[in-house]
Amino acid sequence: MPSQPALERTWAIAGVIIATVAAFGGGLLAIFLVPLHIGSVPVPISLLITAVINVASVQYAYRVSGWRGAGFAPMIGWFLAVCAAGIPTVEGDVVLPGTWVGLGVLFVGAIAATVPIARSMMVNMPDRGGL
Amino acid sequence: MQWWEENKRQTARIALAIAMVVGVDIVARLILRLAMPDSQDDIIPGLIVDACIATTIGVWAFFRARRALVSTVAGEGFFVIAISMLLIAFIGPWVSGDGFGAPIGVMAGRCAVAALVLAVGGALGILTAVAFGIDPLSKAYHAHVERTRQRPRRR
Repeated sequence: MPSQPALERTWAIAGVIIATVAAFGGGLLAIFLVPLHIGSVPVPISLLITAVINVASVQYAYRVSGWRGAGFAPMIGWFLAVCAAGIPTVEGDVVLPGTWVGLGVLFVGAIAATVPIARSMMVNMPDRGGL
Repeated sequence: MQWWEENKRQTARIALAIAMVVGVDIVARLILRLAMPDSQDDIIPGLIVDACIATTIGVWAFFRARRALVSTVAGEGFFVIAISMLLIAFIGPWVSGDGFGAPIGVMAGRCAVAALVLAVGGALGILTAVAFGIDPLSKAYHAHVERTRQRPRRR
């Protein structure tokens, strides 16, 4: 039977992987919703989805693992989704267009992931005695 | 309102650092554009601009690490890097004369390069402060060692 620390570490790694996959999938979902229109009016719901998914996945990764740097994994997952969708194909087709909603996804996503990561980095380490 | 009262000094510090990094990037690009108007080379001007912004954030991190714990400097530096990379990726090419319109993939690539350069500069600044022993933890450690040396030994 595996020891308690080994189980906790496995659970932490699994949580970070789940958060990364969720950020990647959520990023793709938001990207595919960038061209959403009602009539001729663009509906920037992808900005909201990007913000919520990035904050939630980064917070989840940090809470479930307790590691300060855990939030980087979902951020990288989301960034890979943006890069994959933003690079044009040989024919010039691109999933994430360079419209203001597309640029907004990049800006909002980066800032939404940055805030919880920076806050978790600024938490001081617990006192382990000594100095 | 209470949040603002508690964090306004830190927010101002981060905003100042972002303004410094983005300002240095813009000035460096403008100088290079004026100095080398006919240059077709992208590598050398890019490296010069990257060196300038890395040095700027490195100097900021070095001086900030004299007063704050490394974890605080790293957190503030992460804010500075994230917002600066977005501004640099958006404004920088326009200052260099390439125009605003770029595919998001190209923009994301520019963000990644700027983030990498800024992260290396910031890490070097923090590590230099730690190496010189001027960060608060190193100073506390040296003070503790001095106190331990001066204390008379118990018999």
